Amino acid sequence: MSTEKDSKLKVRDTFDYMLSRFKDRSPELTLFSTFNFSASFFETNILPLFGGYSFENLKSSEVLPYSLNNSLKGRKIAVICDRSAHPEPKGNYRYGLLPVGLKNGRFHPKIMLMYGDLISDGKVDKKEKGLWLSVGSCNISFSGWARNREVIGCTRVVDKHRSELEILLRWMLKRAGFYSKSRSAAEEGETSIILNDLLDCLENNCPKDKPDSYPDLFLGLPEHKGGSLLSRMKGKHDYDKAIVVSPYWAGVSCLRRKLGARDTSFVPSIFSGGKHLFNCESKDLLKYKFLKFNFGNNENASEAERFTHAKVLWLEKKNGNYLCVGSANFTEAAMLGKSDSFSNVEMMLRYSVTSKKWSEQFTTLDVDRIATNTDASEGAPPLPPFEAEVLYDWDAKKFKYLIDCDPVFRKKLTLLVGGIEYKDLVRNGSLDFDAKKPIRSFVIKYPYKNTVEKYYGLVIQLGGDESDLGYKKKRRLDEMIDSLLKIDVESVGYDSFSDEIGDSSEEGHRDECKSFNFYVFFQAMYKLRLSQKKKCTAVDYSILNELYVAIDVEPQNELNRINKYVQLLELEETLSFFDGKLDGGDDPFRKRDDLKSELGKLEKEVVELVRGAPSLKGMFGKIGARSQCPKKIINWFKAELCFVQKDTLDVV
Amino acid sequence: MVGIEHRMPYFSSIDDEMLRRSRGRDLLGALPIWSAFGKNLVPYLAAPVTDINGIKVVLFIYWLKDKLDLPDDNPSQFRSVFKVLEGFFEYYLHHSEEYDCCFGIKALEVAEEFSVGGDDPRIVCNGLYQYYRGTCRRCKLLKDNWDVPESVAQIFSSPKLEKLPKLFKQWIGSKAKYIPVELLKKKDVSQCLKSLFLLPELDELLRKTLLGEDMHIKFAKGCGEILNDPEAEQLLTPCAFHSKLQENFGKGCNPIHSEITSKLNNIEKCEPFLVCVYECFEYMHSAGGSSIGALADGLGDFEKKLRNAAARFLYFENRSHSERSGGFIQLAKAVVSDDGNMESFMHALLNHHEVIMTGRRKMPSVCVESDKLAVHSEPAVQREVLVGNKTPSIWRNHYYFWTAGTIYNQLWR
Repeated sequence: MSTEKDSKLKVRDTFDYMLSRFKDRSPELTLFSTFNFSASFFETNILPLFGGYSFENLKSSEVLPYSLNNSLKGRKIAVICDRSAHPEPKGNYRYGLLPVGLKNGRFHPKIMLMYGDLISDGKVDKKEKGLWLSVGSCNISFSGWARNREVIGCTRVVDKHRSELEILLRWMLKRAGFYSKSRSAAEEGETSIILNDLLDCLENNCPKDKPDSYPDLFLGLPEHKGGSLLSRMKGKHDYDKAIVVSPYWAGVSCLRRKLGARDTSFVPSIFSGGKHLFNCESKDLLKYKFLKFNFGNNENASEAERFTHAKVLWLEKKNGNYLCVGSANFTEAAMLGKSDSFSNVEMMLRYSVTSKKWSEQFTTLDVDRIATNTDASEGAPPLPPFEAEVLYDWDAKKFKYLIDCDPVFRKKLTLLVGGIEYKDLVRNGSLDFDAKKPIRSFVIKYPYKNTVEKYYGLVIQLGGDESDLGYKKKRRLDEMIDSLLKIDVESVGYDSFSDEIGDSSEEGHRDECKSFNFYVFFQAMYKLRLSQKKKCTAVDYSILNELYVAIDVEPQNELNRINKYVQLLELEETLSFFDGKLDGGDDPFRKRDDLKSELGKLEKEVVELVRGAPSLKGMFGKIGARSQCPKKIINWFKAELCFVQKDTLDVV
Repeated sequence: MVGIEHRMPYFSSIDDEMLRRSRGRDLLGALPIWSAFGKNLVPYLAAPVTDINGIKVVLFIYWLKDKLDLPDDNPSQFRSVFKVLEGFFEYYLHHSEEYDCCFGIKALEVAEEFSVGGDDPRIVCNGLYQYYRGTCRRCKLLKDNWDVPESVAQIFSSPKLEKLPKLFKQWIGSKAKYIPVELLKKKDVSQCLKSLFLLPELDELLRKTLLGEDMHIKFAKGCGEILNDPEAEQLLTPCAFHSKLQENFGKGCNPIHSEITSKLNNIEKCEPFLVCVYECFEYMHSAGGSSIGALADGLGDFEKKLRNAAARFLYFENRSHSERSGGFIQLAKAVVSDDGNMESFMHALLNHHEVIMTGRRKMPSVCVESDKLAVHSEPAVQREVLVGNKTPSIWRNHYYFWTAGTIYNQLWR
């Protein structure tokens, strides 16, 4: 490990190596797990690599979001992160993100698991599918992948890894249960499906030969039947020497006793202020032996001061040594994991190593370079005294939530989501909300030690389509009208209405002046109907769905409400024309109910606007304005609209 | 299964190539306001259009469309072909002795063997399509339906280029990757391409159409002369460039020059306010976790500068009727009003930002959560070089001077 040749390897080299194990560098399924999650980092640096970018051009090329989403079609990528670590809400990119939590512990493993068609010796072996796994200490964040000194190893998944991975995947699936049970459609990124698929893949794609040649895999889980992570990694051997590398420490004397090595050294990480931090009373420092990384006589200051986030356990014995790497800090929560105390989920790989060279990269660390603390929190945010999950169901237009805690305490909570505060929460509730864009985060305010704490959570999206989730640019109404007006009615269909990716940024040339122009809209819709009339194949409703969204999201003021009403009426008319050409099956117009209810609301508003119009009062007097007259005017207008449009089409 | 497949663990090194996070463009939506004034002087060119070869490539690809016999019912196929050809031409331009590429220089330099694909998302295969073709259509070098007009088609029908369509047709297939250098090795390709970029008839056509009318050409010429001036280095701040243009066009009583000067004066009334507003926004953008009150207290002399600029900007109050400039007029009014204070202005500015981002169907980059600023994208500049610092303001939307001047100098070299 960490030989001279390897000394420049970065975290992404492992990722790159794993991708290179698959045909076309395209695994079918990819699962990341992490404690901290920086969505912006992931979406800027890692996700593009699944969409055609290479490491070489990552920095030199601008990532175009809609193009990237287009390239990610068909890829199955999911990230599982800890919910208590304030994960950053994901952007509108095509992947799944599932925050999971423990009532009394942290979800801490940092793995990458990929499945797909494998290559061997540079050639595609069409018959072989398989999985690769990396286990490390690096969270998905800028620090984890680019700055800290982390540790990471990877292996093909073989039969002896199966059981631990199955336990972890099933554990994750159980956490995804709320979303699975609640859903009428798949959650964004289909995380549950990816987890289930990976479980299926493990069953048939893990070779059994030469198990001793692969590192062993250990899962730390409070309810793990095999015992604590430390006891299983250690096995039944006696060790002459142990070296522990960890940034965070807790319960060290107990852990050292359980480890039972004759000579144990500790490598605490350097923190800001230049001191190495260790968890014990100051007076007890001399009871321990400390080491630091040895950078030689020409010690590189920035390397020496770089934060070590790696977690390594070196175990030396006469007939061979173990090198354990992964996510587990040298704390009781990580190493001992009991269901009745604060315990984490962790993942470690154990390599059998004959050489002792690894242990020679350290030198003595003077005690006066060490600062002590007795805080075992590892700097992580406090665990909330409840479990909270929120999802947004695009079909039902509701937030659905689950808040699991004492009912009396629940009464003290406030949920903030979509800009609205909700009180009087129940365990399983739903809240009506008509989202125009994905709402990706929520906040729960709760009382904590005479103050109010905030818990930040992520909202899972259920059933949203590409446009709802922001994968595809929502076209502006003026752009759509422009395109429709260009339809060549002599040709069949509206092929000239091409589906541009739409990353354009030539905003400076957009016409800024909005006009109240029904003519062009009617003209555009007329051309659309005409193009459909000539079409022999089934009508395409996607443009109606898009038009509805484009009309719906136009900025709202009084004039625009009238505009919207007229446009939606016309859209409804076009919809009935489309329906006339429909041959049964599911309703292809997703927004039918929305259209109906929005028109109902708008009509009431427009009637009132007509009632208040000075010209109406001038013509019919105050009494006329108060009567059914405005309603009759609107009905007349609607009848005229239908008549004119039908008539025009028939003439053509 | 062949061999043992695992990798020994290692301690990771620093990775300097990783990026922190991406940021949006024009987060306050001021571009159309400047653009409204800029378009009076430079009617067709989009800001990133700085190389006439990019225009030539776009026109040629559209002309080639018919020659490649692509099926009419599959627009996405042409889009893929466009990407491949765009990447090819960028590669050619980058590796030619005479020219530079328009986009993707790093991608072109980094790659050992540069290849492009039909679903390539890189700027090197998308930049011209995205930024140049709108310019071509605005100046009628492309028709509204993106077809090439007869005037352009005739030029590309030159005997010097007659082999190119066939060569491209043979090259374009259904491969996942295309390697430009392989096509360039083919006999005649380089010679034909050389001719493509040296067609005098095409240059003449571009001179007539790309910049606009006489007044626009005179303005571009004025910009080009400043860029050519060996003493110009000190004039290359936008503010100084603008003053120099005002000075040059203000001489004598030429009616075209007077028209240009009047349009330049509008820019001078508009730009300083936009600059101040952006500086204030970036100040907040770079201060995630801070409260607005604390930030407002740290603004120092900036308030005076902002008030002066806002007062000048209000010249447009009854002269501009677009929604976007209406938003900035409201911001200017908030600054100059008697009860206006910096804290309320900053809140109004964040509201304005949210309206802009919502209109783009995007999340705001900066918002207030419980009195603290929450920041969701990378700030453009670090806080210490922003408001309160003595560094001179940088005009953000100045590129028309350079774009017009650069293109003029290329067309009349």
